Amino acid sequence: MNKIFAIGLKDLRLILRDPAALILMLLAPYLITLGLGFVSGAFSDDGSSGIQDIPVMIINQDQDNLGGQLIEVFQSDDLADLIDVIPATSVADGRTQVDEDELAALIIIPANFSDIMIPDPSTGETAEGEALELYRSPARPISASVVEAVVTQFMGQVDQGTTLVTVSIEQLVESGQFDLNTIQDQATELVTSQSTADPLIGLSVNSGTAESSENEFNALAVLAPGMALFFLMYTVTLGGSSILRERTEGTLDRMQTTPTSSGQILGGKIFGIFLTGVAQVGILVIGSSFMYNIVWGDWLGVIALIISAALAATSWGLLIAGLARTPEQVTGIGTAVMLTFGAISDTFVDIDVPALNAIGAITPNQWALQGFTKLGLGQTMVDILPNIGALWLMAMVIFTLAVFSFRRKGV
Amino acid sequence: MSRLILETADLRKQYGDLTAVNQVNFSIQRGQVFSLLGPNGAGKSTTISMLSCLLSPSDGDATIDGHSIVNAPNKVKAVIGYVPQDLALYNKLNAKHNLKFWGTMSGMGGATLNKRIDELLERVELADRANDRVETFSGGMKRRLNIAVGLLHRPKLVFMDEPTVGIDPQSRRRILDMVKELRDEGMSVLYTTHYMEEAQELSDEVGIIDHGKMIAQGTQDELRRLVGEQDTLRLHFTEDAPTADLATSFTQLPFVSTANANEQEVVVTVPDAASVLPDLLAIATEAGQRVRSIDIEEPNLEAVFLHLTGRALRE
Repeated sequence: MNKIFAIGLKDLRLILRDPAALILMLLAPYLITLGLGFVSGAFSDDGSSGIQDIPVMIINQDQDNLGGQLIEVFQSDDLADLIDVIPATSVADGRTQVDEDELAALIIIPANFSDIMIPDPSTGETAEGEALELYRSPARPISASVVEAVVTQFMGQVDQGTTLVTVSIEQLVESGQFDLNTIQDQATELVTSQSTADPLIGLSVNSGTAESSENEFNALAVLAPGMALFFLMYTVTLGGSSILRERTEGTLDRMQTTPTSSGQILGGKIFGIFLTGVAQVGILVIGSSFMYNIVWGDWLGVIALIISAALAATSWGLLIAGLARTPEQVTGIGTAVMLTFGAISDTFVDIDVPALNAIGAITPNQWALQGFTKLGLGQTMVDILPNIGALWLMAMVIFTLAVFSFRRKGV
Repeated sequence: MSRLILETADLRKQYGDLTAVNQVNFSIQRGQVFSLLGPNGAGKSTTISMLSCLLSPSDGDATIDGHSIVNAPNKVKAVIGYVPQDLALYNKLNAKHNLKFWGTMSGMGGATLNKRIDELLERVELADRANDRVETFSGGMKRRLNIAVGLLHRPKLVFMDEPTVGIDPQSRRRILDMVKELRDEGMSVLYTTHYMEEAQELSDEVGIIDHGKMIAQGTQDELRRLVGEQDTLRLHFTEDAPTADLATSFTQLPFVSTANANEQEVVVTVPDAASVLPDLLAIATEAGQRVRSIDIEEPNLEAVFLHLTGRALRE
């Protein structure tokens, strides 16, 4: 076991001292994520996270004009790209649309909303009545949180008495009192905390019954794991080629003259590739959490998924090395496999071709990407067990083939 | 315990139609340096590869410290050290990390390994470069580190495959001195080379290999006796010297075996050049001839190889 660890740690140390490899393993995924993020609008000036046209229905029953002010906020030019206000029908229809995941949220403004929120000038007291209800879709946690953040910020301003009914929303935005740039931060906080820590008076938040789906699209939350997995294939290919490189450089022969079994040597190389893969994806996940504010979800699930994806990818790297004759061949085949796997697993664009999607099931990218998406949408370790199971099954099958191919080479 | 550390029995390696090593038989006594001398492609490296369990013999066997390379390769690997012809080091790691890794592969660890690493770095004169990456080393330094790796676990028998190829004279000198030190410490060494001078300087016994076959083996004296024990004297004269007459005069001397004129030189073969040289010079002076220079050639392994194969060692 000591020798297996020694070989693995040696390989990790060698990769960490290779600037070219580090650039491709760590820097490239960040830069490409960054670039695609800009293309997709994730870093646009409105401070959004790439989410656009969040469908919201607002039922305004307010007999005064504060409800109208809230609608103005949602229909303002500043939120035009982010929010799509759907024409109001009825409360029942709105709830149904949320439950069927057609709306991210339904806002029900109660009849005496203005009276509840704004004190009577003569008595200084507010009226009692129903709270404003935000009925949110659990299938769209981020979008619903954006809506909640807008409502919360609006009501916060009203609650502090800084908003006068006569002041238009444009004036609020211009004065900086209503800060659209902080909406994303608030939404992220709401998603991670899964609750409003200090609910505002007059606001009631309820969840609908829609099941999680892939309708929720956060550009970075999908791009970042996609890129991490795409470049994970590069890393494992690099690791696989190191076996052949050790042969051409004579170090493999030298290892074989020591009292070290072939199993220990292969085990050590596998451990090294796996360790490097885990380190790479781990660094990318942690880094993107800080850099891009990406919410990866349940950390236990994320860790399990990283380990499983690295294991499955390692098996592929090993098989490629087992089938190739030279390190150069590994690089060539590995690059082709990396690009193919990236393409058929929807890493770059969502390809809606059933046949390709079916083939994508042989890639670690697809299973892991689905898993990361589920976790990002708020699901837990239990929900991604099928993905983890598929990755482990893939690893076992491919490892068996890889070991067989190496045995044929006398390793 | 047998006095032999290594003994081969009809060792053979076949690649298709090519017989790389053909029924090679030799043995090495404990504490000896045995040189395998032969031109490039003679089969030296293939022999070492089989003995270090890297290649399986097509036929035959060898025992090292009593263990068969065919039936007990792991036991063999525990007692041998391998210094390959091509450097087998990790250039991106420093010298210490290289030694630590290879020590672990040899089954060492902890304080024992650390102490041994310090000892060897001192020995190969790399202690002050211990934390520098190997890629910054000169060729000679890499060669020395390559040898240190092979000595980490104090093997009973070290295989050194052409360890001085492509290095500067100073590093070469250090390596040759190190091999002699190892022998003095009781380690056995199988040393392959195509440099006749190295084999002559280091070897207790020499095996001469050509085209995969061991064509002669024994001590250097035994091998030299194969071509006779005559020294060759070359006396160079001025341009107009009557070298033919001088050669005739030399032939009449009882201790001269042969004397031949060759332009401005006379080539004389004698049993002991040093003892007869004054007499030859006296005859030349009497004849009024002035000797410009003298070369004395003792029989060497080059001559043995030439005698056995009809080719020079470096052809």
